Amino acid sequence: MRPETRPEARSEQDRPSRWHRTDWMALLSGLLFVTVGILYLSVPDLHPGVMLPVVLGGLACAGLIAVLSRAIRR
Amino acid sequence: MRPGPRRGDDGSMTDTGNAQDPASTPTDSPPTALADGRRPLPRCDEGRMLTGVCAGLGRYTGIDPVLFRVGFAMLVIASGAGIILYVAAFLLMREVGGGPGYVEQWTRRDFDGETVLALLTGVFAFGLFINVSSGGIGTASVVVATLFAVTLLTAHSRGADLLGMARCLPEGLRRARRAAPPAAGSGAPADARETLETTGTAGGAGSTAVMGVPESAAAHPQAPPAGPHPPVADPPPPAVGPRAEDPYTEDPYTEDPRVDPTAEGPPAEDPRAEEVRRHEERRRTVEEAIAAAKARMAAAQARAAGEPPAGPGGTGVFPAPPPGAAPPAGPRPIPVSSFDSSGAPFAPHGPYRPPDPRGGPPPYGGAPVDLAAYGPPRRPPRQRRPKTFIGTITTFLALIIGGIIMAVQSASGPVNMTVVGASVLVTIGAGLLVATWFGRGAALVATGTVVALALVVGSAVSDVPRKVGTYDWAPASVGQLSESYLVGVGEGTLDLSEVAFPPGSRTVVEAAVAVGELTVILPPTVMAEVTGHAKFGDVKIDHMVQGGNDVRHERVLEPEVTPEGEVATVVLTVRVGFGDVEVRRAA
Repeated sequence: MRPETRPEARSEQDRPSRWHRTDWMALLSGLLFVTVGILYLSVPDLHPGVMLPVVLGGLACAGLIAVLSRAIRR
Repeated sequence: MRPGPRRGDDGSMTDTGNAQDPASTPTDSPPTALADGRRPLPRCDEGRMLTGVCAGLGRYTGIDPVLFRVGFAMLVIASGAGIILYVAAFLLMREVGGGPGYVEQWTRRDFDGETVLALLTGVFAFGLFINVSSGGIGTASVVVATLFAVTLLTAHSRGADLLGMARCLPEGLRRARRAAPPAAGSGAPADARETLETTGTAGGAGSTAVMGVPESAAAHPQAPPAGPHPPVADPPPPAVGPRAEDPYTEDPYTEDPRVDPTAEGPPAEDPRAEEVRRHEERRRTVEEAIAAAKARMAAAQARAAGEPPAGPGGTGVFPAPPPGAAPPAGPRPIPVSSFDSSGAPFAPHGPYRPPDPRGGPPPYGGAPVDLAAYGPPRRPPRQRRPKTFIGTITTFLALIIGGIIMAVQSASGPVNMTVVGASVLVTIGAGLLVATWFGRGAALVATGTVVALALVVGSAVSDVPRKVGTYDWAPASVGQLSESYLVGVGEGTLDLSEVAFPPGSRTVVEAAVAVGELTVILPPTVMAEVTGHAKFGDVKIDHMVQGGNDVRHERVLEPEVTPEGEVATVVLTVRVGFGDVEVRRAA
């Protein structure tokens, strides 16, 4: 999914800015990956039966929220 | 699920509201057809309860929307499949005004109603599968399965070709958008050539209205069809009264309405001569307009000076003849106030017509804009996205961090792949947090997903994959023995030759390697009960080799040297996934 560029965020040379509006997919999946990684580093025995739904469900929620946010912006 | 659109005897697609009763018609105007005549499945704003999904389904299938609402409610109560199905329907169905749905916008595709229903059936089946796989055959699964069966049977009874729909589904999904999306909320398609299929009968008596063509033209069954010769709008009604003969108000670029534009036949004159004639008419019209303006200015100046207005008419309203022209003989033409604000505006190129929406030349010449002549709609050039290096930088950073951790761990002991994977995952997550507002993070999301799943699955298999490398175990006494020795990928050597087993004792030892080689060295004074497993590889026990797939090799090794006292026994179990394992005596 392509992040949306802010229309007003253009430089003087009329080049599109690298800064864009909040990419919710990147934000939420990044938080999920950081959390999962820290859990695996700190907790020695994590049950895969718990972590697998957490990862898949978290990614699904991130995608859904990203889709909804894009739909609302339009 | 609805039956496919029925075809009349002439092959024309009909759009009846009730498949059981072809004579029935929808309760309201039918949805706008797609560019290639396929029938879309939009949500409906009339009689909706939430988002119009059930109303749209009911309108499309000719079934009471209440039945759809009851079905969705049962699915929601029984399991979560109802929510998933409703959300999927909301995203897949077109908007209320006929605009493309969310999935169509994201995928730049046009889905007809059958494709949407086939996808919803797939979602429904997926929900049933999830119910059965997670909770077994319980109440929820029975409810979902019953509704699924009822849906399929209903569709079948109404004439739907389920297998045909399944076969045509990939083609429907690959079908790219062929027409510009209709204006949201207006209900009218942006493409003026889109057709509205209304009621059609076997006799082909249905009417087809072409957008952009006046109703009167569209209502005539004999109207020329759209094609190489696009339909021409009906000519404007001729002016009533003397103005019809007025040379100033007559549009030189409008075709004579008394001439049938569709009449076939050779052109009356050479196109070049026609062009010259038009140019002369245009020039003459402009000169007359300039002369009239000058006359009006002179009359105004005369009024201001208290003098009688100049000009043959003396009123200042009539256009003065051009300089040098002879006075008109005979009856004076009927004066017309052509160029003042009370009359028709000065428009030498004819009445105003909206410009070509696709950016073509202005529609001078009296003919309507022929969109087909401009080819496919020109899309503005896609803005080139700036290059982003956030994904590359983060990936390299994650690899560097993982490599550093592996090096540190291998220097001090076995490498714990869980720690390495978790560190890589944290790095990727940090990169994604940066990509939230800077650059693009799609590749990082994919990479992080792969790493996270590998981490979870790797920890799920066993502890074996965590250890990579070469391991040598040489316990010196029974107290230093552990119950199991495991290697993920690499080599492992378990040397028990220095262990002094107590006489008459029975010691259990287990060693395993997932991928690689494993060697176990036994002291010559013990009796060994060896059991070897290999999924794919060789198991060699004291010069006896068995190899192949799923090998199980069992042997009892008597002591080579008779010890003092009772013989100690070692119960040894060795396993290998892909590789070789060897059990032998110490030299």
